[in-house]
Amino acid sequence: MNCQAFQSIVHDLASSRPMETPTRLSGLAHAKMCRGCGARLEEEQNLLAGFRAVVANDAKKEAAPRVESELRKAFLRQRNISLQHSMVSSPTLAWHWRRRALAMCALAAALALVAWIWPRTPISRHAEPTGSVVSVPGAVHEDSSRPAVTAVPPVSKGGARLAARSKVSRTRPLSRHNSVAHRARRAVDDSQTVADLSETETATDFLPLLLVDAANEFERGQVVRVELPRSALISFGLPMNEERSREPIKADVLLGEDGLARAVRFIQ
Amino acid sequence: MTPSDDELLQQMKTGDENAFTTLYRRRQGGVYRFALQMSGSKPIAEDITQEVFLALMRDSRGYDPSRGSLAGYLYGIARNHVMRHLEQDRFHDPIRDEPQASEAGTPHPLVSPEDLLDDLARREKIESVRQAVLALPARYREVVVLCDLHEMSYVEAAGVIGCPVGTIPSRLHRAHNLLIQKLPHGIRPSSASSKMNARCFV
Repeated sequence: MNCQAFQSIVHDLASSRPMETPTRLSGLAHAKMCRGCGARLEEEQNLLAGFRAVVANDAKKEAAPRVESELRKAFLRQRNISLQHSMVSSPTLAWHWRRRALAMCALAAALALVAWIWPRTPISRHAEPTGSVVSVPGAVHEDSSRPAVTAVPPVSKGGARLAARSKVSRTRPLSRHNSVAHRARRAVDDSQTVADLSETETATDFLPLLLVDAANEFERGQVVRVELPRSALISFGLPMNEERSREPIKADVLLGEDGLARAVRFIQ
Repeated sequence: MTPSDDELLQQMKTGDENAFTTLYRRRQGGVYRFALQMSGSKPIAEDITQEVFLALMRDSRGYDPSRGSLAGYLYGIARNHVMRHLEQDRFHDPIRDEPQASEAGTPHPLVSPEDLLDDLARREKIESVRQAVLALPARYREVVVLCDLHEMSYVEAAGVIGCPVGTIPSRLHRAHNLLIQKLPHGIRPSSASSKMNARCFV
């Protein structure tokens, strides 16, 4: 062992900290041979003896009794606060839920009132500045970024059948009774709420997207202008211009109050 | 059977005052001595002891048994408070308590003059070591206090300080070198060996 290696272990050697026996023996042998390292080991041992004297002298030193009494008081205060909190928390929680229930009742009452007043008020027009979204009164304005989802026509036998019928007569309205298209058009025509088609635009009839029974429940809704792949025309049995197959086609989607798309008409 | 620290802590959390008292009495001495040896001030050490146990009773969620012992956790809190005190007092001239030589105990009036001299030499040595430790920079002082005065392992000390284990022996080595330089030359040779030499001449 050289002096540098000895310096790195001298503390452990003096303090008898656990170390490998060969290292210890080698270190002690070096301390005997090297005068400087021997002196360093002795200094280290003396220092540790000083530490031991300090430890022995401080062994009985403790915090004053008043610290314990103050801490015990603080502990009892803390415990009482915790108990009070646990006792108070139950009624507080109940009151919290009661307030929420009251708020829910108030909201339900407000909704019922709106539903009662709704059919009696004239439908007003709320055209967005862009004119792309037109809503039936009371309906929530939909974000125009959504239609890609809502406007995808569900493939159903009823829808396909009705679509096929609309293909046959684009100018002839669908059955006047029990048809979503009729209801949608009536809602639009009677109240004149749909976005005005620009002079250059022509539109198909509303083509129903859902089964007739389900669609009959439709009373109010919202018309949303979207852009669809032109291939959507084919799924409704409408002719598609192959040359413009890559261009999207505008469409108005009629959304029910439940957010489901009920009908769609294509704009050209 | 003596309950462990963790068991006492669990009981303490349920509001058991006896558990808190037992835990306090078991651990306050080490925390107090650590704060005293680090700060050199009794009032500060008592304040820190109080703060440590207040912190434990207010929020013991910071203690994770998988990361170390409760004693180490308490030392860690104490260490943070000590460092804060040292930082605050850096620009102030600390007012020392009563001369600490008297803390080693007044000599008994019936002791012989030789014993009295030995006792004085011992107290002088203790005071020299204490003052030399207090004069160390904080990062070296805490290692000496934890490893040499509280006989912690390097791993435990590293857990309290929050540093890699390898840092501890290197800081300890440096601290010992500084202490050997700082200590008065008369303190370095052990009084026992000089006494033995004296007896040899007789």
